[in-house]
Amino acid sequence: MKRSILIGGEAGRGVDRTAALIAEIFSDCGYFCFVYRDYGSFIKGGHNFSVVTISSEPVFSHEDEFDLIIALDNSALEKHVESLKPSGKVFLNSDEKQSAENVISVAADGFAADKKVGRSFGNNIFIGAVLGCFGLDWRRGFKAIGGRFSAGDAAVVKEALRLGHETWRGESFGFEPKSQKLKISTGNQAAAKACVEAGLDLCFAYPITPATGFVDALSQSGKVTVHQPEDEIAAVNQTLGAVFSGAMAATATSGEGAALMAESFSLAAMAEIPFVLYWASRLGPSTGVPTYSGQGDLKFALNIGHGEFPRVVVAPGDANESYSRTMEAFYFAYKYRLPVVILTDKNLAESYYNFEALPSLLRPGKFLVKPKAGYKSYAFTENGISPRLAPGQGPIVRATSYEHDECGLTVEDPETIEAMSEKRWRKAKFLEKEIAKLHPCRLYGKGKNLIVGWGSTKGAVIDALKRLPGYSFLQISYVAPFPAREVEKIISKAKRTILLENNSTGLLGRIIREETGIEIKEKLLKNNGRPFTAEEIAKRLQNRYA
Amino acid sequence: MPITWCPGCPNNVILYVLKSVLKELVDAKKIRKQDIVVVTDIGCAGKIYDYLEVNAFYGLHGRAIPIATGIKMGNPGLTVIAVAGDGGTYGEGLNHLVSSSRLNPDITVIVINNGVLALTKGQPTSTHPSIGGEPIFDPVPLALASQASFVSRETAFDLRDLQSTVKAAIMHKGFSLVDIFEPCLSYNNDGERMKRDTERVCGKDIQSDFEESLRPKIRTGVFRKMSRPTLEQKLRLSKKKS
Repeated sequence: MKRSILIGGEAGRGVDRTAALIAEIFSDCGYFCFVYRDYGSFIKGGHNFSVVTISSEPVFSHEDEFDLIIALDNSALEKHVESLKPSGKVFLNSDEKQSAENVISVAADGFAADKKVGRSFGNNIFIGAVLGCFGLDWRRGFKAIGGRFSAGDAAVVKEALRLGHETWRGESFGFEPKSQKLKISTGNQAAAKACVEAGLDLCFAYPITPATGFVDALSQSGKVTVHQPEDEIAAVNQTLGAVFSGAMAATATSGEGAALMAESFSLAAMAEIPFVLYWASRLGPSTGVPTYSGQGDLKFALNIGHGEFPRVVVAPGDANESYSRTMEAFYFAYKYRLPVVILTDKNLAESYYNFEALPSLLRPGKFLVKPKAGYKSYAFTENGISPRLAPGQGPIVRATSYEHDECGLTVEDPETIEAMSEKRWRKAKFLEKEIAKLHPCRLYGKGKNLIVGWGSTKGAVIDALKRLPGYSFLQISYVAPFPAREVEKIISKAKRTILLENNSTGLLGRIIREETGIEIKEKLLKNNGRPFTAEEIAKRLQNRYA
Repeated sequence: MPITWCPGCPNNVILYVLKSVLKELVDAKKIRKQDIVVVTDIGCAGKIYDYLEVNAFYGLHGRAIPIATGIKMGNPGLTVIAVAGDGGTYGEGLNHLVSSSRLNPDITVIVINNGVLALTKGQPTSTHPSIGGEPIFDPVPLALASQASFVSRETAFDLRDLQSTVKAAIMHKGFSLVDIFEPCLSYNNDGERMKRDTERVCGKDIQSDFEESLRPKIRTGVFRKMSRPTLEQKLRLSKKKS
């Protein structure tokens, strides 16, 4: 059982909220959901839409065709009616009876006017109608989402759901509530949850789509102090200052903001200050298409910051991984005193997935030591990790952008320069060993034809595998340090290898070639801001290799 | 560490003043030595990082203020002092001066203002009495307009005034700016003019009289000292136990 709903309307009309509430209800009733959000740069007006996919099987991507269209205005209907399945229905925001048989009027605006509530409130009637259409009792729907509203509002929502449910008179899709309950989360929310659990004290961030949702989630947690400074440069430097003084801090941005942070990324490496950068890409170059997605920042994330130094770049593939990889990011940054990038993109950051916070094997923490006489901020150690002390406890603590000796004092002599650089790189060996235990890459399926990808494309590929017998999928999550041996082993066993990325040149392919010598010639690339769908992947592969 | 400023550099005076003020405050139990953190820019001003036996952060060009702000927010129990040059504070990182003045983190910003980017061999900054005759940038009215709660200027010639102002700035609860005029013996050796043109207007809050600041004289003194909640207080950040 799998059904797909498109909700479309102007910005500011509650498209996103309505989609999320529907997904929340069906998840609460035990169905798997995925919500794709498509919106432009508007506050009011324009046309936004969300696609909710509801299934009895796990689902990680959206569909191209819809069983239901919820049109908050006529323009939504006009724009999407071509993608309506032949048996599909339309719920149109209207008081008038419709001539087309498959278009059902839902008087959402009328309801909102009657109740003297905001227009978006009328959207709850559509939710009621969806429940009717799917065969779920409206009371069950209310049980799932009622808690989201104040007592006064909840009464209005209740009535809207009931009225909406009555508008559906046909045969239902037969979705009975199940005993299991599922949760939903965006990639941003899942990463923020991990930050809270890791013990984050402070987040310094300048607003930018699509990272803002992450910062908002931190703020809403009530457990993290969020500060908005004057720009990304201040954000990153304040982060490093706060970590130096003993707090757990992070910053978040997108590619454009990361460009401004580049100098301080290198500072974090040289000063060996634990640094976690949550980096949610949008479509570049430059301003690009700010509310759409792309995987064009991969090489930038791998190379950001001048000079040479060890770093971690980890790319989660869904909301569960956003959570677990963020936990790992904090662990590695603080344990190894180095910069870590969590590289995600708009598709993962802002889509809703079913979510479960799986317990992490690693325990993130500040990795601070107790004060001791003779403390040296950059002491040489066997694994290159100098014990980290916060200032204020007696021993002098130093951090420096300049090359330095063990005490952190400035040096320019060749022996110390060499020794310090070697010390920083020594950490990398130990880091790689620990990362190797965390599935830095993972193989899905057993087919001899291998799709290779990373990040948010995972969902559509996993969904596509069901239609592609003979295919398997290699997801690479740690891009730095790169799991070269494992990747080489898996690719060399494949009959045919296809690189799949949301960018125009196949950046991961170039990294694989650099790290393993293997050149993947077959590429399935898409760089128009929109994610792959499972159907599209299946069709394009089947057409190519029919 | 051996001092590597040019022989006779007035930075030595500023170093001496900072050391003596910190010692005095520590001896008087006004602050604890272990809580002092000095954040520096790079260049000649940055070298002070190596000459002080306190916690220190050698930052980036123009970024001493945000690093200091972050340190204070990470642990409000620390006494945070940024030491930077005019190139970093009034050029590369000017944005941070405006924002931190407004937001009022309890940090002290000491600017060694000699009109040149000295370590790169003397290129002029915005405070240089310039070759082309462009007007000189005056940070004092900007800091006042940005609502900094403590704004001052001294020179490296007047030891006693400099000492008392640096002390007052460190003890001030909130953002404090101490702009220190000095010549650069190698690239802007203008000491005689500085001495001649200096006019002390201490104690005069020129908030209501910006005209004053546009005069060709180098006015010194504390131009504003007012009390208002700090950024850390507003965000209810608490001291780390130690």
